Amino acid sequence: MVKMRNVVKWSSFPSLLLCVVFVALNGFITKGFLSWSSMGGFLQAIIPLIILSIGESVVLLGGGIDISVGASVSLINVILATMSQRGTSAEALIGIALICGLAIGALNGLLISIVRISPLLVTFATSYIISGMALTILPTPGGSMPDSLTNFYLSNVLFVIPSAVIFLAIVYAIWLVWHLSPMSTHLYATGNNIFKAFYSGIAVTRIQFMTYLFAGFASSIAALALTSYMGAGDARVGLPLTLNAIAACVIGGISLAGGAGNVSGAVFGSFFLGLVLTIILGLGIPTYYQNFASGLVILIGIFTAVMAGKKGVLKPNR
Amino acid sequence: MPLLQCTGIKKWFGAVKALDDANFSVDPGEIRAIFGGNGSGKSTLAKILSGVVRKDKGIIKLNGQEVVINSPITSKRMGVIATAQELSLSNNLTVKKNVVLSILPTRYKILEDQKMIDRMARTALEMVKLDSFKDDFVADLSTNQKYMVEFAKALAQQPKILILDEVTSALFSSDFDIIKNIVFELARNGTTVLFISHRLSEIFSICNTVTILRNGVTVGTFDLKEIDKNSLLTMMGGSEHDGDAYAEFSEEEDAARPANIPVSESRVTVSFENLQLPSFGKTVKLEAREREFVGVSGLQGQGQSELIRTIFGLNGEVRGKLEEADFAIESPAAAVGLGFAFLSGDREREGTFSERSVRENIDVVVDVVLGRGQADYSKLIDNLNIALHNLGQPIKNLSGGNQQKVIISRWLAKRPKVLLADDPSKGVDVNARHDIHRIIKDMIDDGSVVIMASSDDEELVSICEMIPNSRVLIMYKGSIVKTLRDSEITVHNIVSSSISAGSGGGAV
Repeated sequence: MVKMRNVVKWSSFPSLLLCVVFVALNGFITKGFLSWSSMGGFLQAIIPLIILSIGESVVLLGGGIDISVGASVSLINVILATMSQRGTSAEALIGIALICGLAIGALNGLLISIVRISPLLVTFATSYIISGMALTILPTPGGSMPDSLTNFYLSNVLFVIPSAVIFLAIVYAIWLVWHLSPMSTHLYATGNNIFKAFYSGIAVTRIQFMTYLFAGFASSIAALALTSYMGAGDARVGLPLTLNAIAACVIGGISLAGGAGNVSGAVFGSFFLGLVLTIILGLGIPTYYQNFASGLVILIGIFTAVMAGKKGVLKPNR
Repeated sequence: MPLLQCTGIKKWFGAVKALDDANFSVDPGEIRAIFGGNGSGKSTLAKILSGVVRKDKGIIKLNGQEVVINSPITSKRMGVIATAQELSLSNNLTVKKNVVLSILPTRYKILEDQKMIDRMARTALEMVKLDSFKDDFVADLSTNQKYMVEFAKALAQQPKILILDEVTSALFSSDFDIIKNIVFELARNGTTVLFISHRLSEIFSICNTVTILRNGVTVGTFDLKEIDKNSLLTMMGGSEHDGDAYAEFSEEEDAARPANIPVSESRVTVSFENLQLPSFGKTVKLEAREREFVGVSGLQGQGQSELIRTIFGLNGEVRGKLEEADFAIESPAAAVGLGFAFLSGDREREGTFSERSVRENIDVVVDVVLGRGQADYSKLIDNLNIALHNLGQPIKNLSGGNQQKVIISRWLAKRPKVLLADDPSKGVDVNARHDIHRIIKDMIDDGSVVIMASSDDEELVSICEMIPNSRVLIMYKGSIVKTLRDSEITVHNIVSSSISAGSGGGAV
């Protein structure tokens, strides 16, 4: 009973509930959605966003915000697509993606944690620089991706698990190490109140820097996954991803004020956003009304989930 | 050899001097009180030693060696551990994690050791008798429990020098006894304790020696066995001292005695029968007469600022009488309409529209809110002695004092009936402070009433000296516990009534 109560009070609970309900809804609306192959295809499409949201959620937990993650995906995407066309090997491409992502993360982290400029301004500015670079490198969509990476991404491991999940697992595993170390407690303390954390002798500058570095790392893995999925480059591919990642975090119960929520919430949140899109497509809604309809579904979904979550919190002895 | 030695410590915050010349040294195992009035620099000293604030000048020696403390991490490494007056606990973490937050133990150098956290936190929490709360979130604790956890957090770090900054001000007397016994135990084992408190009775019961601070300067260090309360108060209050006995009184006594009826028989401008102070759950009775100055003082956070804000309608509905007519207001907008004016010490948040011009900042009340046309700027600027280039420049480019004068002038343009001021000269330099006092006097001469809270006791005394009709109310835990009039208004009396209210009434 106590355990049940804890699950209901868990900050990721409303978003988990949303996912369960929408998977069931999709099962009714979209023919064959619940089959293995269809689920695999769904995961391949949504995993880049999930990875990006995990990166964003760590930044939000530390009390910051990073609105350059989508632009980073665009830049790494076009770099991978153009270099692949010139015959760069898959291993080298992975290395290049990581270097780019970590460099962007380090730049953001440096300006925010050490120079102490507002995170919104820094990442707003860097997102323009980064997407500008992406457009210069590849003004029109094109390029390619090595077959080895594309085929791997679209294949299954052990016949059943989509290989795309491995990309997600790598990022989540690194977060897990962070989560099990004292740096997790330091992260929550810093996000709650940076001055109190500083008083307590926590190296707040380092923690802040690490969150942006992690977001940069997540961007590079997300870009690798997305480029392998698309098999091509497009400088505009990351544009909608930033807000989707932030929305996924908020849906997952992560506070924009910092220090509250769980990274798992970001996973459920992005999963839910993907499910909504599938439902809209499954219903056969005309293209022009799709944005309108998905916005409406998201709003109704979040509203009911938040209400359900609130009831759960309010019931026990408060 | 002294364990800690501080020489010539200086600290300025902008134009405000917090520490001018602090000198003292303590021996191992000594329990030293740091004592002084509001704004005397006690907390700044604690913050410099704990690395939260960097000193501008001066030398700190530990064990005879000069040390550089530039962050809490370095000071903690040297064994200097301080509790924070405003708490350093994270509401979103459990009590046990907060207790060991500064020293989180690990397994294999990387994994957080949950069992060890539990064990270390339990040891510290058992000492303050809160071990049953170790798995609760700090947000769910009461205020006094939070301060006990803050104390336990310092204990867990095994301090060589323990600085307790006002940790006892929110505690019950039973909690204080727990802290007292632990402090004695620590001192026996050689830990030096610096104890900062406003409560004289606590200082005398716990400390060996006392260092007195006044206006950022250390007056001296004395053995508490060789000094009495009166001479201690005299030294912290400065030269003004009328030889009054150190009077103890309680809240009950006050209830029987009407606390605040002015001597003068002039017309009552404003009166409140039941002014409710929500965070204390108390009601206050208050009236002020034409051309009267009402100062509000007391220890930090006893409801002074809440009293001012409640009258201005910031805490919901207020009922009262203004010039013999009943009124009820629910918002500052309604209060302004009736002729109330409000001046906040926190200019950045509640005073200026910092990016806008001086002209717009003056116009905002009379022209924008009340729609009565523009003010006579040049007259206002000249009268108030405001230094500026032109009216179009953004107000943020002015000094703090000049900004505050601009904000006063926004109210002057419509001659307020009652000026409510909440620590208006906070962070304002001496000259501008004098100008503000003169403006307050002029307003009173024109028939206004001024009700002003101040954390600077000397300021209240010097304003009262200028104004024939003045009172100072002393607040404690949301009640007015004493009223000082005429010759009673001295720094010594304000401080001693504030403190004796605390020790007489005990913690509630």
